[in-house]
Amino acid sequence: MFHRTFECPSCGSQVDQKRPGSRTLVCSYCGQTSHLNADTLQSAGDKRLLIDYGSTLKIGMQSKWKGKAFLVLGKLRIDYEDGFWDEWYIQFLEDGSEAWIQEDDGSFTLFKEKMKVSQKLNLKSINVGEWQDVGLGTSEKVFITSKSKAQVNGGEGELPFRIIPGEPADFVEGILKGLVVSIEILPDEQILYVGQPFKIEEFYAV
Amino acid sequence: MSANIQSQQALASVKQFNCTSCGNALTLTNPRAKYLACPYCGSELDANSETFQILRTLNPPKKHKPYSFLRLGMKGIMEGKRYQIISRSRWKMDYKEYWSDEDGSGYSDEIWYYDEWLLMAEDKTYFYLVEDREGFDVSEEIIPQQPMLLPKNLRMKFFNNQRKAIVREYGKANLVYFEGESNYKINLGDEIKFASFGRGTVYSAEWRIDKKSRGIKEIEFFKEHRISKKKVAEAFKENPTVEAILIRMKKWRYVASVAGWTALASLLLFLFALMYSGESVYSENINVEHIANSQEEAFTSPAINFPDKGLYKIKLSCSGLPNGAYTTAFMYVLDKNQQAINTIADEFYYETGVDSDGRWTESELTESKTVKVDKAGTYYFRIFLDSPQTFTTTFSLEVTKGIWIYGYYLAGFVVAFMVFFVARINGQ
Repeated sequence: MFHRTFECPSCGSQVDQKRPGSRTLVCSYCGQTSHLNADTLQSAGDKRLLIDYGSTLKIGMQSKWKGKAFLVLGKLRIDYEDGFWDEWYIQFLEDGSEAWIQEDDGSFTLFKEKMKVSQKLNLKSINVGEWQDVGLGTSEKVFITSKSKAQVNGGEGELPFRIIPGEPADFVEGILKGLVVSIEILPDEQILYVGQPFKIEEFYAV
Repeated sequence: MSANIQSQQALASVKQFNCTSCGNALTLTNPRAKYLACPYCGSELDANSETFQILRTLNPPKKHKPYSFLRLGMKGIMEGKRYQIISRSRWKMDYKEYWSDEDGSGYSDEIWYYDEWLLMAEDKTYFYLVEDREGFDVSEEIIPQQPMLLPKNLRMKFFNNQRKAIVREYGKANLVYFEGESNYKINLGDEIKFASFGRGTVYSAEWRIDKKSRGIKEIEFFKEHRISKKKVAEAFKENPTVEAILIRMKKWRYVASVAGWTALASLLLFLFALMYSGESVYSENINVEHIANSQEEAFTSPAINFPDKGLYKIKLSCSGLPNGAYTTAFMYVLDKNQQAINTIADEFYYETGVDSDGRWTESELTESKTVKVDKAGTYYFRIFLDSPQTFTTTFSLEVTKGIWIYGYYLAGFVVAFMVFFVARINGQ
């Protein structure tokens, strides 16, 4: 299994990388966010240790979802005007595929299918309650259920893209064919995932 | 359960302290909570400040008491999972409700209130229990295949296998009271709009309105199903006040059971009494020629032997009364000394005609009375008629014994059924 270690550029503690494609690593001791450039770590933004509000998931934990074993690699916390939510970055051990588990006020959604967005989305042109073309490259439209200005609070573990604590991370949510669509609009990229809600008990199913 | 996932610790109070405003004991269970509204004085406290600083005063709790036995902080087991009640929101609905009857259908304007109880489990997941004056519902968020708000044709469906159904309720709801913990800023007056359809399982779309822009801020979809008060009480029976209510409900169920069987027995007796005609003691047809405005004796029976004391049914019926005729008949029950011991008086009439709707008839041609006879022996009947008209007709006099007074059984059934109905509501 892939495993590399680095020294935190801020405190010198060991920082682990367990997935080859990860681009952000966060020191679990001092909370320094760092970007991976080739084989070096470079500090990015303030040190920020996320407050632990209690969750069933933990970084480094292995478990099973619908019988498929997965490893929890990282966590991204997004703040918005009504509070925050966490996105857990996971890797399925059987095929190495990545996915996200969104944890928002005790409800969980697994986003496994990533889709490309062909156009840059503008939050102002998104209307909640309407079917809208979000640039899926097909004729399919998404029913928009919410949009909000948000920002990255910080991360934990490792993440597949670069984040800087405090940077904007606007988001749009919608529904497509009975599935949840989540679009995060980061400064460098737009990420659209399609997923479905599940009950926490499904973690325990083997 | 996977060995790698550790269940969260049992529901333990994160913080216990006294309200900064009124001094009552408060508990903060959800580590994510930012605000706490005191259920005793209505003060909103900053849950993240060391001193639980008072931010403002919300609506007084006295004006928004819970509808039944649930209280903030109570612990219970819903659907196999242990929860604690962490907040209660009261919403005022101002909405339109669908109605239909034989004359048509439409929407009526309604006002209604309901409480939304938020329960948090040991694993920090939530459970929504909705309560109004009529009972409880379990609410669950869903993701529809065909999401929609309020279509112009007022027909909705969320899933491909559903048939389009009429919107049963639509309108708005405003937050009028809040108590307990909240991750969000508590904004009394917060508005949601909604549209719902379905019976039994109710599906609804709810969209939150932004106060400033009046645009839609967020949309959620739910399905709700009713849960009995008994089930909710059983879920929270570890709380002494709820346990007492459960005992009371059990007593009501016992009363309902007794009243239900009594109602059934009364109904059967009533039906039997209706069918039982009794044993004939005397029967006579009396031909009468009445002269207008004369109070004349029409008939006196021969001596009739009443073989037993008890109840006898006396029935006087009239046939062959001419159209427009009207008479008052007085019938005396006489003892063996021909002294009156009871009187039956009634009006008999018959009218018929034709109007634009066809033939009509109005008549009153039968009167019966139950009399109690204290001892067996000889009795007589004497009939007088009083009418402004002259006519000829035939009266029939029938006397039967051993009759059942079905009216008592009917009354017994009605009373027992009402007790059953009330007890059943209180016992569920």
